[in-house]
Amino acid sequence: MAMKRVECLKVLAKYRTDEFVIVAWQSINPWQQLSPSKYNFQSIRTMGECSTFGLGLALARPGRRVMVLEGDGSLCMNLGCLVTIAMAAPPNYYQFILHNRVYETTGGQTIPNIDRLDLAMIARGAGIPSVHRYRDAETLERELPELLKEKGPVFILLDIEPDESHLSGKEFGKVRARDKDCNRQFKEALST
Amino acid sequence: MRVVNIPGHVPDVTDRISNDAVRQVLEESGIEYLVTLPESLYEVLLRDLITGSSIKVIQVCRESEGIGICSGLTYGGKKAATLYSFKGFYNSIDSLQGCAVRTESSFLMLISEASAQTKAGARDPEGGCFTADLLKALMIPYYEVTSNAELPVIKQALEQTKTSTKPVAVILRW
Repeated sequence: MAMKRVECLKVLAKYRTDEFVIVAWQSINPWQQLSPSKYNFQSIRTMGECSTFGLGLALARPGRRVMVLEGDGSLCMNLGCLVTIAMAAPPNYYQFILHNRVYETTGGQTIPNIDRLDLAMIARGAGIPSVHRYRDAETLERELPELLKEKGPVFILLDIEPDESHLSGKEFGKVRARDKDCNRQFKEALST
Repeated sequence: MRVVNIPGHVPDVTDRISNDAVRQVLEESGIEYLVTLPESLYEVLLRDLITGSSIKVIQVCRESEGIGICSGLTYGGKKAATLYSFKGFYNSIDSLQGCAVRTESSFLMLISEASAQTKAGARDPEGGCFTADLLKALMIPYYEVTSNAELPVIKQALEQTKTSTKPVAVILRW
């Protein structure tokens, strides 16, 4: 059982207030449509550093929640970050992993060892105290408000279906083209 | 790009970079966060910073993580630095390009290598001889330090991060 990416992001957008949101790859466009904000940062240049960028921001700005929206493939490229996050333990840090079991951006190739991979267990084993997993949007919606009140770091694994309408190379070029402006806007918003 | 060159300078053995002197300069510089992995050349420095300094030390599992963390810290208005071996720098290059340069994050990168100690070391890839060339290729401004007397360059580099749109590196040749 798994959610559609959009229905999952709709739930997150519904309960988003003033959080900084660091969003990666395939979730960038739908998130911008569902929750447009100067506090959205798009991370597309380096797979695996979305979570660490969010960690740095959470440490720098302890008064505001930081939500990271990252794919499972991206997390797999930087699994050690879970240990680092658990040690730094920012209480305002919420890491949402969109778990569609594939590298969607490159065409949907399967993530290694996907049938045995348990990212929630890895997060727990890394020392993250609060780990959750959701397979349907109804349960996520029911529990998200309380979950966002938990002291971070919180790790939330969201099972989603691979998206047939994932960004093509051409569409991704547009995301890349606005990358600099978008992130400059985010930086300016942080400085005011 | 600015590179500190001191023609004909041969580091005095007694003036080689010391852990205590680096610690003093880092504390005076106003750095708030130091992201690092252990290395034998700065083992004492790191131990002292972790146990008794106002600088917050963030230990990472792999150096590339630190680039993301420092970028986030910088966006959040903090003065941040990495302290890695040259191999850690090699490991960080994709993150450096994608996460720091592309997002116009400027923070201090302290890159540690041992190649000042011997002439052979200066030509040895295992001693860090590619560090400066790689920084040049990435168009990242850098300074080279081989003695305690040159350590104030760290403050200069940190100052430069206020106006730069890229990280600024200091190569520490112990």
